[in-house]
Amino acid sequence: MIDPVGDPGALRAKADELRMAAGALGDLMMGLTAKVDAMLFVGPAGDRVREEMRRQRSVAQRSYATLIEVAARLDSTASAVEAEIHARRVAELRRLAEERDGD
Amino acid sequence: MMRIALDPTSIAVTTKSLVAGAAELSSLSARLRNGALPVMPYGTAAIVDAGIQQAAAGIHSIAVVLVEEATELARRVAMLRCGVAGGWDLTLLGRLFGIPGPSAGEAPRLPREFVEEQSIAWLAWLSEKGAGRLLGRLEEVNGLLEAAAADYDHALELFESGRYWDILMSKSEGAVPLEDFSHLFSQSKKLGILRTGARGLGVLGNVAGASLAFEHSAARSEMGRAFSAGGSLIFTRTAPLIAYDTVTGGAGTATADLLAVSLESVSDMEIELDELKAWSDANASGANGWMLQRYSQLGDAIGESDWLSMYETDDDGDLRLGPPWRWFD
Repeated sequence: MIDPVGDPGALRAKADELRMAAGALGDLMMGLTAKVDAMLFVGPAGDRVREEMRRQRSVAQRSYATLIEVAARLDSTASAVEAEIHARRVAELRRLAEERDGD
Repeated sequence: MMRIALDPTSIAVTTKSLVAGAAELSSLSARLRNGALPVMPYGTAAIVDAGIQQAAAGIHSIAVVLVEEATELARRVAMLRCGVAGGWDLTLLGRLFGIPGPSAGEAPRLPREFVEEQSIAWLAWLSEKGAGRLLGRLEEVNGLLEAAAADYDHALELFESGRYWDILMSKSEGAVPLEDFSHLFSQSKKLGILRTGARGLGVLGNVAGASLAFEHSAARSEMGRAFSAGGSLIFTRTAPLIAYDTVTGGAGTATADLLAVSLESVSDMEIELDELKAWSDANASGANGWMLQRYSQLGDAIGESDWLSMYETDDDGDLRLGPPWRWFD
């Protein structure tokens, strides 16, 4: 019998790591956007910088969403691996019990 | 009417934030890109890895853009603080932006944004230093610039007529005669450093109605005499100018430095002029690092009360901003 592929603990740790990265990204971009918005620079060039910052925030939001999505996939993979491990343990215990009863 | 307001300090602070943010984003991107994946089913691993790499690439691209934006902001603030954006520097600054300058028979082409930003920059300078510390002459010039920014067509008319200076001056109360261009330096308590050669002076000559070239020519001959007599302060034919010169070039490429210093600043500047003589000597020997240090120190010395701008010419004779200032150290 082939063991299930994957370490649920490591998968969940990686998922947490990605969520933390996404959180850091969100916090950082929020802070930077606030700083740029607060910058006293009224005029065409100032407007252009703020507009560029908004565009980059959109890029960041996509990266954020991707990281959260990947983290969720890792969590679900961890759950699936755990379920598979559990099922195999149950099957193994059942087989051992049947062998014992047969004796 | 266009609203104009900016605070160079606020922009500088934001610039630093963008640089710091870009560094953090770059680091975050690298961690994601290089982070090890735990063991998992092959198909899942491929999807997860692709997602992470995509997110990392997006984050990296943000860092790149933020650095570009920060660089642009830094450049603007540096120019503001160098006082490059004064009224008589409009055309020169145009050349910094790659806008064709007024060579013979050619009028400068200044886009709307450029005109607007010059007005903004000039206002920023006034705001930063306190308009009360500048003489009325500059406030009048500022008013003209502000009006130019508000009325772009009029501004273009001024610039493209090739008679910007004539018009600017004639519209000022108690106008400074064009041929006495150097007087404007004294009015502004400005220290102007012009590091240029014959071709750069030609450009300036066009801008300033040849008066500066005239000044330079007069200064050079007097400088020669003064230097041979061991002096370093030169009073040119138009008294407000004090010129300091060093010849650094080789055969046929003699380069001269001209410092225009207001009379009001003389007593304060004597020490700095000694420094500048040393700077020029170092320049002649190509000690660029030392030069930059001196520029920075000079900027600090002048700091609150005076205005310094500096240009130099490149090999093609085009004017450009001199070595960078260390406003962000």
